[in-house]
Amino acid sequence: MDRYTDEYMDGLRLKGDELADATVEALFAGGEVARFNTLMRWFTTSGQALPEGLPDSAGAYLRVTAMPPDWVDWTLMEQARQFFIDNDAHISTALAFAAMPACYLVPHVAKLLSATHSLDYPSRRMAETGQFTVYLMQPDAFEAGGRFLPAAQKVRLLHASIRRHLRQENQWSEPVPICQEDMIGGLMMFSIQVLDALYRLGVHITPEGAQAYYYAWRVVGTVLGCDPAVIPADLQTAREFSDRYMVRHMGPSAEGVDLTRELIEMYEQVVPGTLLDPVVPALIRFLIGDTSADWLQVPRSRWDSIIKIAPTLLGALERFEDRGPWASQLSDRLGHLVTTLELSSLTHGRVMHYAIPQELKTAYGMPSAPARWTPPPSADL
Amino acid sequence: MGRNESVRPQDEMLYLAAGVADLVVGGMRGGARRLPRLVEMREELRARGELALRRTGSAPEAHLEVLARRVAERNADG
Repeated sequence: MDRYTDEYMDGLRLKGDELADATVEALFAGGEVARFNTLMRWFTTSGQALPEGLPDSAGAYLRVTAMPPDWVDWTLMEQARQFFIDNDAHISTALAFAAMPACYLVPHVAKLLSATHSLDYPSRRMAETGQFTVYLMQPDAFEAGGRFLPAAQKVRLLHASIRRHLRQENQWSEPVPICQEDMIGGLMMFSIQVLDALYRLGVHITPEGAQAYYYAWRVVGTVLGCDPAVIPADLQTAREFSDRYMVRHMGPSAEGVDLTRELIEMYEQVVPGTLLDPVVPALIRFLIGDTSADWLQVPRSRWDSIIKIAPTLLGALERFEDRGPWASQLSDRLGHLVTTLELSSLTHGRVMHYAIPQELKTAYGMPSAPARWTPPPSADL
Repeated sequence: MGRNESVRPQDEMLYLAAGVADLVVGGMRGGARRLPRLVEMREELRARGELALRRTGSAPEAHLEVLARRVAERNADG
C-alpha cells in the first residue's frame, strides 16, 4: 500500500488537466467562448472537418486530442465490448445504483455536482460520464463517424471551464476543482467498483472479462484527461487506489443526501405505480452497504431483506440462459430493456439515441466461463 | 417440522420467493412432478429457497461497507 500514500494523493489534488486548462484559458482570454460554443454544436463525430473560424487554441487542442491513445490494444477493447454487451443490464444497474451513490459519498464531489448544476439536474454530470460506456461500446466508437471522441473532447473542456470558473469566483476551498485524484477516483467508481457490485450481485464474470472492462475504462480515463501514467495499470493497483481514495474522502454530506434522494426519485418515476418504489433504495443499500447508505440517508424498507435474493434470481437467470438460444435471446432482450430504462432515466432520455447495437451479440460469442473473477482483497490502509 | 417452526415470518417470505425463483427457472418440470400437495409444495419451496440463498446468498458484504466501517472507526477514534 506504499504506492498511494497520502503525500502522493495530496500531490494529485494540485493537478488539473494542463492541455484542456490552457485551451480554456486562451478561449476566455481571447473572448472567444461564445463563438467556440456555437461552432462546436456542429462538431459531433470523429473525422468531421473542424468548423471554419475556430479559434487557434481550440483548433490545436481538437487536433491533438482527435485520435485515441496510440498504446490502445484493440483486441482487449473488443473483449471489453463483448463483456459489456453480455452484461449490459447488470453493468447499468451497477453504474446507476453503486457507482452514482459512490460519487455522492465523496462530500467535495457531491458539493461540486450541486454547485455546478443546481438549476439543472445535478446528477447529469456524472450520468454523462456513465453514458460514455454506451458511447464507447459502439463498434465505431473510435473510428471516423464515431461520437465518442468528440464528446470526450468537449467534456475535457467543460471540466476545464468548471475549474476556471470556481477558481475565479473563489468558490472552491481547494486549489484545483476536478483534480487528478478526483478524476481517477471517479474512474475507479465506474470501473473496479462496478465490478465489485457485479460480484456482490452474484453475476458470473471471468477474470479476462473483468480485466478487459477495466482496460476500457483506462482508455476512457486517458481520453477524458486523466494522466495515463497515474491511472492504475491493473485491477490490483486499481483496488489500492480506489480503497485509498474512498477511505481518504468518503463520508456524509448534505449534498450527498440531496443527490441520492434525487437519484431515487428519478427511478421511482420510471417504474409505474408505487408498489415497487422501495426496490431502488433497497438495491442501493444492498450494493453500497448499510454504513454508506445511512450516510446518504437511503430510506429503509421491508425490501431491504427481500432484495438479498437478487443474486439468487440472477444466478437462476444465468442457468435459464443456458437452456438454449431462445432463453438466452429472451434474457438478452430483458437485459437490453433494463439497460435502456436505467441509463435513459439517468440521462433523461438522451441515451436512447445510443442504443447498444444488436449485431455484436451474434458477431462475438462469449465463451462459456469456467473461472470466476473475484475482486482483489482490500489492502491494509 | 421443528426446523420450519423456527423460521421467522420475514425469512419465510424470503425463502419462499427464492424458492419460487429457483423452481421456475431451475426445474419446473421435475419440481411439479414431485409436488402433489400444497403444504408439501410450500415446504419444498422453502427448502429450495433456503438452499438457493445459501448457495448464492453467502456473497461477502459490499466492499464499500468494509471501507465505510474503517472510516467510521477512524472518526470515532478521533
